[in-house]
Amino acid sequence: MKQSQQWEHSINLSCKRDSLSHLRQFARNALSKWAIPEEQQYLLILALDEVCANLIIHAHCCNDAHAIEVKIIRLPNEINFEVQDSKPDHFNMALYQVPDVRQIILEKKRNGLGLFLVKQIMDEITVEQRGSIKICRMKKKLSLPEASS
Amino acid sequence: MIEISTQQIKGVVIVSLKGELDASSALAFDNKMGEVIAQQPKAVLIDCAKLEYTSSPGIGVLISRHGECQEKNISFALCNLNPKINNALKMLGLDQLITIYNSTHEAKSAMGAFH
Repeated sequence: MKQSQQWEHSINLSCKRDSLSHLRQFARNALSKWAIPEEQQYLLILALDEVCANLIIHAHCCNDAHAIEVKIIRLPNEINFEVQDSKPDHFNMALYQVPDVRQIILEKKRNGLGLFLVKQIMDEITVEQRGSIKICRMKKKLSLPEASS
Repeated sequence: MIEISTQQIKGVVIVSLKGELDASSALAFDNKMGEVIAQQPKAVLIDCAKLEYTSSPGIGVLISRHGECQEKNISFALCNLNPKINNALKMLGLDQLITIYNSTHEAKSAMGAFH
């Protein structure tokens, strides 16, 4: 963790489903240090879990020789998540149009719910290509009475 | 990691979940639900009192198995949801689709599962 204008935690995850519980524990530890209310923590962790699960399962096919890096960055009034991935051909979530969730539910489908939740929970999602690295950034403004660090 | 236990009372199967449902553990839940529904009970009650977390794969199991129960005329409900999970389900509008009881007592009473 570095101490400057922002606080940051990072973790490397191997691309296997079991990594998701480590990710949630890592995120829980970070967010609780920053006095984020539990209900908000839950939704933020859910969004991060959904994005990483999507990458691990669909982009990396659960190949545990691959890894992604996750950063949680606390700015005075917002939380940023950065997920860095070297797999070049996974889809761009920022451009992903969420399906009609009512239709998914009516048709008893299972796919599409996760990214719908991510877009509901986070305020801003961007994807940047930096050389061979793709970085998905997600921001959430915090509505805390007093932003603590 | 999810622990799943079941008990049957007067034709109502109560499926109790303990732990976290995610992309790793949802398959075990789905398989158990398949076994439960194959018994053709009169009702299935998912007791979430000890369920701490669910992401979309777990929610997807609830949606699809709820649909299957509807088709087979089996009542399906959840009970004892923690408020954080309930909040996520509300974001998806599932509280309008699936019956959710506040307590096991209320659910058992409504589903006719008292001895």
